[in-house]
Amino acid sequence: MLTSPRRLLSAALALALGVGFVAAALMLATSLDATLRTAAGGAIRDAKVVLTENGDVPDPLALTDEYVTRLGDVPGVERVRTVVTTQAMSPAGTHLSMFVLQTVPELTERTTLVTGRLPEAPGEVLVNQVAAQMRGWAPGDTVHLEVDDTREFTLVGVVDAGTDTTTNLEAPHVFLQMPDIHELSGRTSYTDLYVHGTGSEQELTDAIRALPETAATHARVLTAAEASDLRITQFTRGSEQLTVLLLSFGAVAVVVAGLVVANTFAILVAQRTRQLALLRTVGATRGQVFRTVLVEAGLLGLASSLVGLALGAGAVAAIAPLSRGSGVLQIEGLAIAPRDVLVPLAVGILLALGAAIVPARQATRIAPLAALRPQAATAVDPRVRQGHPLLAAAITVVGFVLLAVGAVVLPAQGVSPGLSVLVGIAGGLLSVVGVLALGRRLVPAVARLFAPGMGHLGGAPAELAAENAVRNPGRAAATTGALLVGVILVTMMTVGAATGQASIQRELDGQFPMDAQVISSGPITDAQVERARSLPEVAAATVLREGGVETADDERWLHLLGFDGDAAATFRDPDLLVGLADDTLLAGPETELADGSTVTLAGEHEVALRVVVRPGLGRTSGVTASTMLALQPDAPRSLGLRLADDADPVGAVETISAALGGDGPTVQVMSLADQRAQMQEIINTVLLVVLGLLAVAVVIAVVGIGNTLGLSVHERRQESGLLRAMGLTRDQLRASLGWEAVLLAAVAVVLGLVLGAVYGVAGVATLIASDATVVPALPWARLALIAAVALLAGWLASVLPSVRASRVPPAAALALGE
Amino acid sequence: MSRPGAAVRTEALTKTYGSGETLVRALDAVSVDIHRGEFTAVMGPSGSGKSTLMHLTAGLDAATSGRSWIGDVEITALDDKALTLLRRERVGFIFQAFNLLPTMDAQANILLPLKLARRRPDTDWFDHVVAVLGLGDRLTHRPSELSGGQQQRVAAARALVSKPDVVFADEPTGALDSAASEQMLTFLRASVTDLGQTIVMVTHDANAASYADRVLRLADGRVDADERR
Ligand SMILES: Nc1ncnc2c1ncn2[C@@H]1O[C@H](COP(=O)(O)OP(=O)(O)OP(=O)(O)O)[C@@H](O)[C@H]1O
Ligand SMILES: [Mg+2]
Repeated sequence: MLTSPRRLLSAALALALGVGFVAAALMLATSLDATLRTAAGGAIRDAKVVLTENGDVPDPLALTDEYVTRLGDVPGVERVRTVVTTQAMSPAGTHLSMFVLQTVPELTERTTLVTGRLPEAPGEVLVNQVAAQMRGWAPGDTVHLEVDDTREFTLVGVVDAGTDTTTNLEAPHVFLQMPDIHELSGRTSYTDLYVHGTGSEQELTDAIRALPETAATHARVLTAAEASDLRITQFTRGSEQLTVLLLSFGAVAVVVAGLVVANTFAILVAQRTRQLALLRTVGATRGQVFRTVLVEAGLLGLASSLVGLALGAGAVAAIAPLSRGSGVLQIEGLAIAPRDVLVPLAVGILLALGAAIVPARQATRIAPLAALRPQAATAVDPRVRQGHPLLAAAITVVGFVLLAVGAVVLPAQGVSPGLSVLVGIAGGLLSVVGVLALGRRLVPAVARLFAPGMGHLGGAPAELAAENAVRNPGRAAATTGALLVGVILVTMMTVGAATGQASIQRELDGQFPMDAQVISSGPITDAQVERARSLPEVAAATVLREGGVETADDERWLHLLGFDGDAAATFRDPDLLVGLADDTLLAGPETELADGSTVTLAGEHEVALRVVVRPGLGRTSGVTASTMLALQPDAPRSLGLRLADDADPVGAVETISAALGGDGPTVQVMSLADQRAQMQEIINTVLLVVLGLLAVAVVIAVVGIGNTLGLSVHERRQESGLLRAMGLTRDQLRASLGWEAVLLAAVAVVLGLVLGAVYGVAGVATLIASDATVVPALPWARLALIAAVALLAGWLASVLPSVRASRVPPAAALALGE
Repeated sequence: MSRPGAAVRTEALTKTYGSGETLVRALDAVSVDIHRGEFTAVMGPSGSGKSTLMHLTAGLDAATSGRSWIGDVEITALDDKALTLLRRERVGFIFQAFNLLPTMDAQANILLPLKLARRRPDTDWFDHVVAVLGLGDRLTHRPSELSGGQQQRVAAARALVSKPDVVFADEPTGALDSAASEQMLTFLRASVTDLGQTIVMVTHDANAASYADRVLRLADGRVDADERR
């Protein structure tokens, strides 16, 4: 095999990409872990014992000053570092934002003063750079902090807080002294104590545990090592999921690479039939032939895996500088553990050997006589074994049944999502295996569906292509298989993301039927209502009356909104208020009122209302404004808003609060719109990353198509020569090969889009809580893009082989032999 | 330029392979006229340049130097596309082996050149050719289901069905037994005599050459003898 370097190159490329992916995933995990270890261990520094909150007990933490003094008496204790980490709000204009409140840090290599000084007197605060930038603060400014009520502080310095001070580098921090924290929040307990001292960690820890007062603190007493491990598990929970995610995509890349490599090896062995047969005629045993093929495959596997390792390490090293400041995925630099090298290496070599076994066995079956036989004119390919189609069909059916069980049946039974996801994944995998095994039949069948249309579009070259694409069903199936897996995954992620988003959106719409609500400290004025309506960011506004009323018979409290006639326009779902009348109560399902029943509400007057259940209302109930006023004449006015579709939700909230803040009472705009936008952004980012990763699988698959086509072109040299003699022009020959590749790609696209969409929707169904509805969503534009990219990729794969084929003069192509 | 009556003409047509030490003159300044309506056989020892002459004059390969015409079109001046279209419209081929596309049945193979040229087949002529070659009951068979002789007859039918200006045949009977050869040669002879077809046939076989009107003998890439019967 090593004698066909060009074709080997593409097998090697596929292998290297697959191995590189696995290596990158593992190395990324190691690098992340190393980074997190430095970060998580940071605050511990050289402390020997850490006392911290114990999540397992309900009692509040009591690490008081008295206890700290007591600790100082324990033999071996030299110093106790005390830290409080809590939260406070800080108002700015009309809105509040959350700040991390912490005791003043010690200055170290990683935590350095930027300007000013550390707080020394009561009422002085230090902030980190994030907070200073966010609010434009400088020393001398006044900082308002609010826990129960608001207090004023003076800013004296800005600090660059490193990982030994906080684990949440991106959050705005305010640092102040313990007495100030106590005064602001009433806290008497520290959140963490770091005990420095002499002796071993364990001895010191045991001594502190033995202290009688320790039990009353309800704290967890940990050695520094234990504390560091604990923090790392807390921190790395997210990154482990990331590693699993990356590795599963790595597995996909490896499977696709495996398909391509197996196909290439089969091709190479077939090409060498004569050569191997000649070896046999001169006396090579079957075992020798078998070993020759396997050794070559192993060498190829080793070489490509080494390249893959280099690719993986290079990728992670390249990501490292880009990751700084990304928060989630921050890595300081490339770190490699032994397993990151050994596992990908083993995967690559085993994959190459595994892919070579079937072709190698076939090679041993080549009769010595094959060397002497003239090359057959017909190109029927006996190589690919025919798996039993009934078995494949059975696997497919069982797979889809399991998938349906995981997606529909189990969630309906209220089983935990973990189980339904497992069943769903098993079903999905089985069905993919089944479909791939059915490929020999399925791929030609689907391809034949396209053939007439292609003939119309592309004339004789396209008709030739339609014949050629499926003349070797096994090869067609193997070629499309790799791309099929790629398209399935990309489609699955795209449809899954859209479906998940639509489903969550439906949930949010139900819980918060309006984009934004404006509440105010006093009655909202008509001028403010008019002002809101005039803003371009606001599509519709209505005055709401909000209150709470009890039912007359069982005194259940209901959250009530009174709607004006123009309220429907402010809802995302305008049908939400259909059926609203003075004698009806629109009730959300969480009120647990029965549809059609009559309920009497006891407000200022008793009012009997007919219940109409609206799933979209959640735990809210709605009545007309006049009913509301009859129940509660002083119900406060607020303003319900729907934002314009093109408005930036975050900016709109700012604009609205600014516009309404001027006259009348102070207002607060409550909006989920920015949360929705945020969710959308997160989903889009994740999707983009995932699709980028899957693109590797598609590239490998395209390499495979180019490979197969290259071989077919080689095998059909004489045919091409004949066709050229008969009058097929160069362009037509190229076009024909292009059509052939595009046809195979189209089969992968059609099957992949359908299966991927099914898996995407089913995947969300297995994940989502049982009481939520799955809203299947097909993002057509993106799906069209996937199809276009896959078809284009298929065509691109044909360019090299077809150019090569068309350059051969017909006379040379017709000449027999090599 | 071409004399009337010349279906194919060459002028100092030369083809060399390799260079320096390994230079091979497969064809060395050959000038010949192939007359319209004649059956011309090209003979010569192995390696004398017969196939090369046929490939160049049929426009299947590019000459190193010299000129060549089919009818009054100088094919050595044409680009690949024009040459391909010319072959499609005006030239028929029968090769020694590998004449047919394995994916197509006999009928599709016969009609392939017409299909590429988007020309409507002349049904009467098609039926006639098929009948004369005795292929009537074999039209739906694929090449793998046909004997060697039948395959060659399908190729002959394909070469003639488009009524080309000239048919080139490279050892069309090379893989056939004597009975099948006889049949093929009789058919080729008849299509020249009865229909005025022009045929150039490369052959090793003196018996095959005896069906021709004229025999060109090549040796070392040159025309050694030009015999007319
Ligand atoms: N592609 C090629 N590269 C190098 N030399 C070639 C090539 N094709 C033909 N030749 C050489 O050109 C010369 C003429 O070859 P050609 O095939 O025309 O001979 P031929 O008369 O048809 O022989 P045969 O009766 O064996 O078919 C031979 O010496 C051959 O080796
Ligand atoms: Mg020859």
